Amino acid sequence: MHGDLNMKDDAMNAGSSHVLTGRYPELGSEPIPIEPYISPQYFELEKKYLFKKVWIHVGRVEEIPSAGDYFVKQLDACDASVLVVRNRDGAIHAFHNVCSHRMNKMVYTERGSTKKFFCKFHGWAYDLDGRLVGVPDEKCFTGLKREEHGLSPVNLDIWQGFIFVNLDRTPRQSLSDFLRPMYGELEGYPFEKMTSCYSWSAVVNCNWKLALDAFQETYHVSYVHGRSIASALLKSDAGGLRPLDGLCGEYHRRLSIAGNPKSVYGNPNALTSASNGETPGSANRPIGEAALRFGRGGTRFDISQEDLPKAINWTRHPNWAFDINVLFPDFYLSTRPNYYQAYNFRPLTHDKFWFDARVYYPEMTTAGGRFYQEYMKVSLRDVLLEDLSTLEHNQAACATRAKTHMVLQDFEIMVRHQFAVIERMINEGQAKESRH
Amino acid sequence: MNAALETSKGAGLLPEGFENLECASEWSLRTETQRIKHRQESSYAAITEFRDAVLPELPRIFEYLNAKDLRTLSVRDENLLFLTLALAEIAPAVEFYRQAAVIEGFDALRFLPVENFCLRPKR
Repeated sequence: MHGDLNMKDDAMNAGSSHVLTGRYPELGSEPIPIEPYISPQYFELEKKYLFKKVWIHVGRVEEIPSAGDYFVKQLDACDASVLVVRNRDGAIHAFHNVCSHRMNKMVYTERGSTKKFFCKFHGWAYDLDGRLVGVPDEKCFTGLKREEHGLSPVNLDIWQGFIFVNLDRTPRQSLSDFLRPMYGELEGYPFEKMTSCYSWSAVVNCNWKLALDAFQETYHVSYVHGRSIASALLKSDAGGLRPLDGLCGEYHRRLSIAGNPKSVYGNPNALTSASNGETPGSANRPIGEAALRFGRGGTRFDISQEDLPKAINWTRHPNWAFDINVLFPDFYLSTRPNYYQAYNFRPLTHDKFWFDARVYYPEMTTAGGRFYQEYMKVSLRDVLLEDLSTLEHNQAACATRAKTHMVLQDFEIMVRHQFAVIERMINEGQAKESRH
Repeated sequence: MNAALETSKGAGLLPEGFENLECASEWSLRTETQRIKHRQESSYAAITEFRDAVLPELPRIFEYLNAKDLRTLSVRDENLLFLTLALAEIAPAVEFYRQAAVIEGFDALRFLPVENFCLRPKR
């Protein structure tokens, strides 16, 4: 069907159906248990040994461009509300969103800009560095030392413009050490140029891992997305939608996926300088075709695959469409030549998560570019409605305990990897505790 | 707010030369939230009628709008842009699903856009 592409050696077309399982024998090939998806006790272990120990993505630096700009992130899996603020020197810091006096939540709003933070309970005031700078009726306190009662800091670091926090007072590793073994060569991707962000959110009655699982394999695409974007991905010779390759690290994982260049949605060159100017000629999708045609030349800046860092399209496939990067534990980052998606699957309870879905495009300068962007964005949103459609049924089915284990095929290895990493971290955490 | 309400009463809603699209002006909506709700509330016949009105006009619309600065469009020009964004909104309905909503999809009204997000384009 695409024999001219000569890609017989990649995972997508390999005769063996154990390409990735064979590469990572330590992950095993046995069915994995359902219990971690439905157990409140297991979720407590995840909170303790994962979410309160590792770096958690909370947003982009562009969200708070000026001194005094702030946002608040509710992180239930860390039992924390975190205030992220840019100070007068331009540095970004994080604090527990908790007043030092009688523990009221300091900031109620999700985001804003301020010169100082005032507690609404008794009026205590803090500056942008979290220092206590105002105490009404201060003389009524006995020996109050302001310098001992600033906001409690939370460890914060930034990678490629993404802000991460770590609720552990003494993180076991730096953000750089955490990310770079898998994502060092992703550095240099033009994240900062994708400044037009659209987002949606929903509370979904599903375990966060079960939800993330639905986003880290392509096996479901022909079925869940059969009417929408299945035709935008490239079928392998075997007929299925297999990824080009997959990488499993100590914590993180990656998948690389090929697109159908004759589609609009899966066209990796749309609106880039690599575009050959062809329209897909899809008679049954004239609006999509019009979006591509009238959007040409409508972006603020031009990008092409040649400018992208090494880690992008690491198999160098000619029809590469996108890479899925799962930054452990709950941050899904899909990097494409002309835009990227950033989803957080924030756990609320063992069977509920908050889906914070964002897509970042370059700014459009023409109405035609804006039309293309809207077409892509609306298509993505409807595809997400398809992805979300199975999750609550999936969770309810797990909870019946009709089955105790799930079976996985080779290209669902990321589901297995997620389970294995979490098990390892819980076991290591418990072993460390028992030694003390 | 419906963009249609933003122009003075009795005046045309769209730029000169696009009067033939006034019949579709109920689709000239400023936000994605308004557009998805209107799509969900519309019959499939109304959706295809809207497509049939606007799709053939796209070459003329973008010849006109692409010559202008997106940041400083007049109200009437904006109304015309919003019509094209509504066409993008109903594209999956007519090109993927052949019905208004995603087939067996998650409820779109539970997954609404965060319209006031600071990095979201103003139009």
